Amino acid sequence: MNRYGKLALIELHRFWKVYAALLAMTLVSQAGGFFYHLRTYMNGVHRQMAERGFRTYQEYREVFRGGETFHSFVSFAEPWFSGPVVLCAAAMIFYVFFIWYRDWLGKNTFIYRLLMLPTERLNLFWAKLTAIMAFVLGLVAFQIVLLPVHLWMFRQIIPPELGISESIFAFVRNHRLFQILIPGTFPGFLVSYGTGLMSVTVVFASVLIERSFRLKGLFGAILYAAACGTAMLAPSFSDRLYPLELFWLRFGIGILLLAVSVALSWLLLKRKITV
Amino acid sequence: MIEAINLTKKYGRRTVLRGLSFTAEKGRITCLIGINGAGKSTLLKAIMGLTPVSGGDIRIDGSPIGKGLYEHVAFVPDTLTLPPSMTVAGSLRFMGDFYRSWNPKRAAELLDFFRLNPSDRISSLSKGNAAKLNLLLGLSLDTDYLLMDEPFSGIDLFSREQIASVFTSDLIEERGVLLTTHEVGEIEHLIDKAVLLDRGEVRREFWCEEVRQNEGKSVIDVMREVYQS
Amino acid sequence: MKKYAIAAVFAAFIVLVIGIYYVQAAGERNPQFRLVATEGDAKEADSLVLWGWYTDAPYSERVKVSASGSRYYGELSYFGRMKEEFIHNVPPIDRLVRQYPDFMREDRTADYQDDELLVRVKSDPWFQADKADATRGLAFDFLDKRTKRTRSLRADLPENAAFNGYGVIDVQRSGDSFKVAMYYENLRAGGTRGTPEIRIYDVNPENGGITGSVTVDSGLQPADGQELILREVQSYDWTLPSGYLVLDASLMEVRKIDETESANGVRASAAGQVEVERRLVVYRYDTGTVDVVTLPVEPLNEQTRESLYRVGAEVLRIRLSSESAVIQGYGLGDMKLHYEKTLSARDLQAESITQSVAGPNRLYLLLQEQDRPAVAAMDPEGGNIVFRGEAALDDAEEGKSASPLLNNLRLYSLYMRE
Repeated sequence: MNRYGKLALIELHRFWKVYAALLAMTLVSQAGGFFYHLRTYMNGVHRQMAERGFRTYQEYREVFRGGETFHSFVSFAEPWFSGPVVLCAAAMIFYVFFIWYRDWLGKNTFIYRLLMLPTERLNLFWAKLTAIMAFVLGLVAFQIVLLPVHLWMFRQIIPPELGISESIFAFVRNHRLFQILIPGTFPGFLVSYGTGLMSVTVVFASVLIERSFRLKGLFGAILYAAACGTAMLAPSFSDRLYPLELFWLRFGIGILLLAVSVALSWLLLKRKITV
Repeated sequence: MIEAINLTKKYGRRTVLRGLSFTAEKGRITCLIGINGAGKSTLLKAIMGLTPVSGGDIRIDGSPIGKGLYEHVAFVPDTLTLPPSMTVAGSLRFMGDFYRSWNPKRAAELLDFFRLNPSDRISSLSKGNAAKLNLLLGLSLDTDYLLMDEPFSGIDLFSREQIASVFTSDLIEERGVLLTTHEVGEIEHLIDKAVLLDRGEVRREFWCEEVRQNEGKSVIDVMREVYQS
Repeated sequence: MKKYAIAAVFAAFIVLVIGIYYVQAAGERNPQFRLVATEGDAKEADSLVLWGWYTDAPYSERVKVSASGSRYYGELSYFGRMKEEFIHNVPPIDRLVRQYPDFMREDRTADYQDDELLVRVKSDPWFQADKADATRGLAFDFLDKRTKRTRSLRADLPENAAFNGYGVIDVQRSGDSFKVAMYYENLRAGGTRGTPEIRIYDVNPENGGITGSVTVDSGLQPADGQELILREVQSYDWTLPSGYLVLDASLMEVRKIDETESANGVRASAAGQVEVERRLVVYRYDTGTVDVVTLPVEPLNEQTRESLYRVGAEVLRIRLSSESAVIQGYGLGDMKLHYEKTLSARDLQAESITQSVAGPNRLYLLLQEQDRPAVAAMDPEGGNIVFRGEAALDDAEEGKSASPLLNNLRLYSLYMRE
């Protein structure tokens, strides 16, 4: 396996404990919180039925409301459902910065070793980028796998008279958070996460600017990130562009920013980076 | 031969290296001597491409420094620069994974010699053991040159003796060694060449044996002369 | 070695899960519908697109249904969503955007077109906070359809202190000059209106000079406590050349509608606007004459809506409730009432009437039958229903029971596909 691959593996391995904790937290919070709410609801239903002498769920439904959907039950179980998603996103955003800074921290500054490896220094960049993308997509895939599990739990616990099932795809399409996490079409997914990838490279370049020039570098980094952000947003301010034109313009700018960030990072790692 | 030609380096407004030039020959042990802040560490890092220089040139065997440098020059920094959760065995695997010049047999021998436990975590190593592992990682690379930054600083006496004994063994024989220290006394007998630094400049560069024979001075004598003038 | 294996499994997991998800998502489709003719010529449905919502609790999705099938917003591809204006379809503008994208890029409006030219006229904003003396004028953009060259022109309008708002309502070409119909209004504090005015300016397209102006007189003069409301009656494609400017003039009086006194002597009264007189005012561009037809005043109740449309050579007045549609057709040429038809929902084989929409040469009524949406098309020249169609389950949905699915479909409006 080549050196980039080995570095990527190191990056994946270094974070696995935190990552596993994020996955576990998501599972426990979503499944656990959802299960708890479903059970509490049914306990309430059974208590009411006992008190009023209903024998079927249909009778219960006629007096109280029934026929809530999976979507509604998920809303009742908030923030246990969306909370972990937000936390994982925050953790990953933090790690986009920390994946570099951790190599400079403490007294065992690993960055010495990494910069002295007999390999293109840009491989460090690629390895970290690969790790971030893998972790993010892994979280998304994990969430995709969890949703049918939650739906199954819903169908097992809530009887059909009281709970309307739905398709996972419709649920995702109509949920404010999940529709962002899992875009409706595959090209939409590529655009979303492609933009994320580009943003990560911009952040990486900014971090490297800071690490190369320290205090001056901090201003430079903020300036660079702001310039890239402005470049991405600028086309939207023109009302003369048709939607398809706007898309291709932003696509082009995105590719350009990606290329510039990678090139800048290569240059900094080769000539300006300092331990 | 490692050549530093007119090196300058600035940290903001502070000039750390001022037009500094010296050479370190292959097969010899060269020592950079100076008080803290004289720029010794910076110099080694610059040679290893770990920090950029503002001006001047560095050449290793006539070529400028580049990616291929690291299979020919090994660096032992002043701390063990490895992740705290990595094990001793893991660090050897790491080196073996990336360096063609890694010599696993020698590494195993040194592991024995230094009596290091492969399953120990980096974070749990004593200062002495950390320094030994650090040296092990540098020595186990079959490189032409070896750079060491303060290899004896803060180490207990027994570990120091162990490390010093390595210097006289065949592990060092054919290589060029460039090391820094601010405590010359203990290694004076080991070094071939001394480069005295003061405030970013070379004050004096000399072969120790020559000076001892011709001027009857020890390195410390020369140091006293140079720094107190 | 174990690390490699775990990493490989991780990568495979990501690719498989995400891949399978999107493959399955693409396969999941909402029920597909089609507009089928139940009466009259099926060709009438060719360019009709009905749109509304499909509700499968708890979600609703935007959908369009036509004779060739249905399209859901959620099923559009990524690029499809960008290309398709799913919400605001103004077909004359959509067509112009397709044909002349660079001209329309500046502003997605147009006022006049013929074989040679496409013209857009914008009036200066009435309120220009940054200027001491506000400019009152028109900005013309011309596109020569044959040479594709564009030209801009400015025409200064005379100041008119009696008003505090204006706008362009119609543009026609007359020989070498252009006639621009402007609406002037005077909105007073408190929400009441002064008497509005319609003026038609002759503009020289070479130099922007105003060579003439007339005021269109509706013949209605509001007395104290009365207000005159003037509205243009538009046709489907207002950019096409027309010899007429059709206005709906309504004289309203503020009257006390109700007064009550509560137990402790507090009086409350409700006032509203009551229509006193209604006229159709037609200005002929070639002769400059104004013809007027008085429309019978009929009070509206809460369930009835009234609309006026120009369809073909007729002006249609429609009073619509969910149970019936009363349609009067007035000829533009002779200014006479040609017919009055009352169509009940039952006449149209439906349970209720949802909406009326004017097309280029048909009046459409959107209907709701017992379990599905339907549509009827009326020929404006005589007021006869020439087409009826309803939403049906597409052939592809064989085996599924139609009624519950169609019941989830509500179609609220339509447009003509270009």
